[in-house]
Amino acid sequence: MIVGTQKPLEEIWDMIKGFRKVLVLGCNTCVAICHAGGGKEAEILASLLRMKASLSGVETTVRHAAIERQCESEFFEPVMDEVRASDVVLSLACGVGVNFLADKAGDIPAFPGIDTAFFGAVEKAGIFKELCAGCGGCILHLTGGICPVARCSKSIMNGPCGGTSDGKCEISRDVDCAWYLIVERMKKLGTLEKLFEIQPPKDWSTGLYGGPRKVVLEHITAPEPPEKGKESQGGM
Amino acid sequence: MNKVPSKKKGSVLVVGGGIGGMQAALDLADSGFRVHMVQRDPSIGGTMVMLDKTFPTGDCSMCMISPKMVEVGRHLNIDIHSPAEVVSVEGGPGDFSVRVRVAPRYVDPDKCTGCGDCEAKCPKKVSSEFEQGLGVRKAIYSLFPQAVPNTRAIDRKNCLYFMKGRCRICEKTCKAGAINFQDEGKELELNVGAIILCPGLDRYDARARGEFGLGRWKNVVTSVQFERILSASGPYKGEVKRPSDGKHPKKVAWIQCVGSRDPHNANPWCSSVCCMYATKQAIIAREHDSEIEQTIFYMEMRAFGKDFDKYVERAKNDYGVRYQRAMISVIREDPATGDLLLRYAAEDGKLVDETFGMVVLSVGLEPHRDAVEFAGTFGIETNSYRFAKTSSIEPVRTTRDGIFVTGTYQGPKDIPETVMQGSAVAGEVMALLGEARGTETITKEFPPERDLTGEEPRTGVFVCHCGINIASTVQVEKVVEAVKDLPGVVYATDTLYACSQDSQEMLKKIVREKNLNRVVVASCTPRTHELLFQETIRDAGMNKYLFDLADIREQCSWCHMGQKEAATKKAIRIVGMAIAKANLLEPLKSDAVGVTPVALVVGGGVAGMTAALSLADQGFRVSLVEKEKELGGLLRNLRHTLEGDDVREFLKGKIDEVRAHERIKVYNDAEVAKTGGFVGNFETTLTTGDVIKHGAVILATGGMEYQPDEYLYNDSDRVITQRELEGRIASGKSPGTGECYVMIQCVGSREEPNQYCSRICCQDAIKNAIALKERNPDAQVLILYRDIRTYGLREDYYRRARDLGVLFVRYEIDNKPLVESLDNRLRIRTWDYMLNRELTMDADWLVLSTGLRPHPTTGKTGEMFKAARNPDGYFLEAHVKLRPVDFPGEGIFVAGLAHAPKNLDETISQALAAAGRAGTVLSRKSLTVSGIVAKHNRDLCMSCLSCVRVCPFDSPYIDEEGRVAHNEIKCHGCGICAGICPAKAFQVNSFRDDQILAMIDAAMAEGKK
Repeated sequence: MIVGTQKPLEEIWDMIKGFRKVLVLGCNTCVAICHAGGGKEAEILASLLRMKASLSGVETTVRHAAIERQCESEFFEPVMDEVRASDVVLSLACGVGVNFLADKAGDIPAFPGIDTAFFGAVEKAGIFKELCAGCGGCILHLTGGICPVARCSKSIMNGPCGGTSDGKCEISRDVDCAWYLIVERMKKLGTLEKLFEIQPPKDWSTGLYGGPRKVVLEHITAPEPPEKGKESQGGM
Repeated sequence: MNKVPSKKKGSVLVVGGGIGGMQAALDLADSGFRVHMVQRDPSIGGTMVMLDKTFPTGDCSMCMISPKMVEVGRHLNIDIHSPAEVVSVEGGPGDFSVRVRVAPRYVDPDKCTGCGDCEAKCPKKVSSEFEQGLGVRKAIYSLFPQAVPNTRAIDRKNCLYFMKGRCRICEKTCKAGAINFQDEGKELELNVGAIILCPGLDRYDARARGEFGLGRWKNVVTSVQFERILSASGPYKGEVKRPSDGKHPKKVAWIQCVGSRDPHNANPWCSSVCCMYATKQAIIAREHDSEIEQTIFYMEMRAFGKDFDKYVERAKNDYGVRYQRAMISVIREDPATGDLLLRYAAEDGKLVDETFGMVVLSVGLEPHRDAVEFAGTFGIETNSYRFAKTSSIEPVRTTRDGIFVTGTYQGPKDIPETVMQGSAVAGEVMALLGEARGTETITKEFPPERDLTGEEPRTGVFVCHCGINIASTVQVEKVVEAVKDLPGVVYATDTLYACSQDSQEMLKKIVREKNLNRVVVASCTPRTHELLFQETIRDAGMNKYLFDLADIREQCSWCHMGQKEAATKKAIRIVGMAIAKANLLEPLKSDAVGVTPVALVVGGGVAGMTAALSLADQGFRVSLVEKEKELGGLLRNLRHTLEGDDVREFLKGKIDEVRAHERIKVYNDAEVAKTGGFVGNFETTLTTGDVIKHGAVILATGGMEYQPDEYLYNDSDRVITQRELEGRIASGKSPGTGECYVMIQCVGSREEPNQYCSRICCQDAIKNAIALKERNPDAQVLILYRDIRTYGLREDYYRRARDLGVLFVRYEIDNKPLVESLDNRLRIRTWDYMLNRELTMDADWLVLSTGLRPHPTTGKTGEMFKAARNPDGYFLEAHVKLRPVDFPGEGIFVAGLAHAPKNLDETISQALAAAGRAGTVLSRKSLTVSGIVAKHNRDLCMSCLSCVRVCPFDSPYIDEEGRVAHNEIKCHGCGICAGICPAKAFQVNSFRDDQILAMIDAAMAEGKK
């Protein structure tokens, strides 16, 4: 899922303090699960902003709402009146949701209430961990199910580097060396010899550095043939 | 269970109201017995109430014991007779007749509401026993503010009226008319089926040791006085101050073994608890005052209990406690400063003089002064030290059938061991009187509940004066006036004592007359009074959850004395909030689930067998699962206990008994494969394919002996373990003259990664050393040790070993003995800290005292029952002090080595305790679930699993559809799920968001007026 953390209140206040009618809009999927931007957080944040406004002597109405997912058009319908009645919408969705909302809201500004961090898993209650970088070219079958792109500080393809020490990465004792984990896992799998094969430089064009990406499923979109030049570049 | 008329009595006498007695009483009363508790003091609580905090959790002692006291005090089937003593006992097991003399209290408990006005007005100050002479009480008093029963008592010796015939101020003050100077006490005749003795302890009177200056030097205090000094509610309000001048001492010394381990001047036994309480006090002292430098002068650090060593390490490393091995022989005072000069011999033998600002004497435990007389009353034998006589295989039975003993009267012990024995005697009594269960208990009948569907709130408000407790600060009439027109309120009044008998009747009458459907009482704390009022409105036909208590005493009048205006305003807000919430309260149902009266016991060692037999004797069917082909577990390797009991014969007897018992089914070669369900209704499948439905489970998966690879164990036949030596001795081989045995202690214990004491090895070594010396006094035995931990009465054997000529040489962890192999002998070199030089010994045998490990199946079994373990792999009990055999998940209990290393007698105690605790579950037809539970709304739930992860009771779970569901039977209503749920899918009954928000709104609305 997508993991994010709520921005500091001061930063949010700076964004919205010039507006009189604020809507805090939560998203009840990924960011709700990481306790950053669900309906409950929207309610709490709205309450904090009202207090902040009151303390700052600013007349501001702050309302709150939440929808199931801010990355799908249909879910917005029930709150669009509310959105249009606002001077600004503070979205607590991930960056995807904020973009999507901004498109829908048109002339009403959509601001981000959270910092979207990464794709991650819940290690245990309250701890979220990045495990995938969405690079568009998965090699997990070669690395024992441990991703060097996301989990190695240098994203190197043939590790470990000289910075590994006692299973930890040189950037911090709190960060596991991904390549150490890979070696240990592949020992367990009995496929350690695979690591002798040198991996060629990775094609980063399928990832973030290759420009905006899009996935089109033709078996679903078939009635409308895809336009030329905008085909799928990678499976996400 | 079939209810045939029983010849045995269904009631039990518990003599002593300390924590052990309370545990026994609650377990018994909760499982169908009527309990009479006879307590010599005016209230219950014993020694534990005097303590400030308890280690290792640092929990406040009073906060832990107080709810238990309240529970005992309120229990329908526990009668407290106090202040009272037993005069005579006749009869036998199943049918004793007991005469009890209740001393006059001079206050009528039926009339007294416990408001304490009399105490406030009493002019006579008396040195307080509870504050250990560091504070004062009045002549009419309760031992401490939370006392149960909270009826005051007049101390006749100090009362002005009794002394001089004048005063009677209490009588004039008491608005309830409860004072009765004519009280003569009474005598009761009780018929009970069994008797439990838990009279508790006295502390060694250190004034007898003049050289320490207690009573002469003001800044020398006892450890219990220091507990009171540390206590936030104590005489110094938790400030570490010196009695002489109120200054903060910089250096504080603790002197260990004052009155203990000293056969010439004081008590020969080890008091078992002082090492740890001194360590705790040193830690807490530093927490209260970061400038303090703490030194503990000790002989041996006896941190033998579970996680004790880790605590001592923390004291050293995190709190700067200095441990100095030395026995102080004299303390001198500098009269100018009040400082104290201690002289001691340092490690290198040099004499050192050191000055301290304050000295704490770690005084030991001993039986009550009149313990022998006490034993005579009950016709039981004592040992030579005046403790009740018991044996290591029957640790809670006295010499008289049907009379049991628990706590420090059986031998020195700490709180968890006392609580454990409390449940153990309960288990023994349940087994003895199983057939009489439920024959003498009383149950309360209530009228049917009125249906309130569709009614608007009709709230009644009762504001209590609590004598002058509230009324002298809060203007009660103003509060009534201010709230009487709030939404929902149809009736508001004030009352002198809301809790008095006549007020309760009035309350019921008004509920009916005014057709009330919500009640708010504004008085004292819900901790003591909520249940009382709930019962009252239930008696008037209301659902008991339609009640709220506004605390305007503890949270208002007491903390704002002298601020009438402000306090009254605050009281109005507090009551307004309660009314706003009450208007939104809904009647709640208390669900009930049935109980399968069958126990599953996992592990067929002595713990499992003892628990199984006790439960079977209580009348329940038991399935006993043992992994091996044979029963017996680790005990099969043992031959004798330290005390000389024949273990083989005992074990054979137990196995035969288990095999022959009609209610026990043994599954050999079997393990738990999977399990599910909850308290009262578990279903467990074994690896054999058998499926067992059971209501409770006892995990007794046992332990393993550590197999050493240190000290050439794998290289030389001359290096053996204590267990192997025990076998050689038992086979009849006597040691030759001059034959040299060297023993090394703590092999595989008390060092990383196994930073814990295995508890049994010191005694094992001493047992074998004594046996060798007794067979041939000319054999040589040396024991290389770190600390000899012969705690409690086991100290006798340490002394005996020394008397027999066994040599003890201490080593330290960073300078361990070195062993090399000679032809047919072994050369052992070690540093002798007394001689300050290296010793070299050529030994014929090197005997390793290897410790214990948890059994490898512990982890697997634990996971299946969701039973957590500590870092060493031992099961983690629900609470280290007060729930030593429970797990947080209800209906699951632990016993034996699976919990921690322990001796045979302790294993048996714990197994009986687990059986006693399980008996409280299995004896019920159904278990009632509180109405205050979290409600789960599946439509809102996103199955994010936050609740599943944080719930301490495993009540949210992932169901067959792979989504989160909630088992309300397991729910305790703690609200953690409601706090963490991002979707607000959980709402706790009576603490719903709308109810809390209404309270906040009410508070703010009132504020704006």
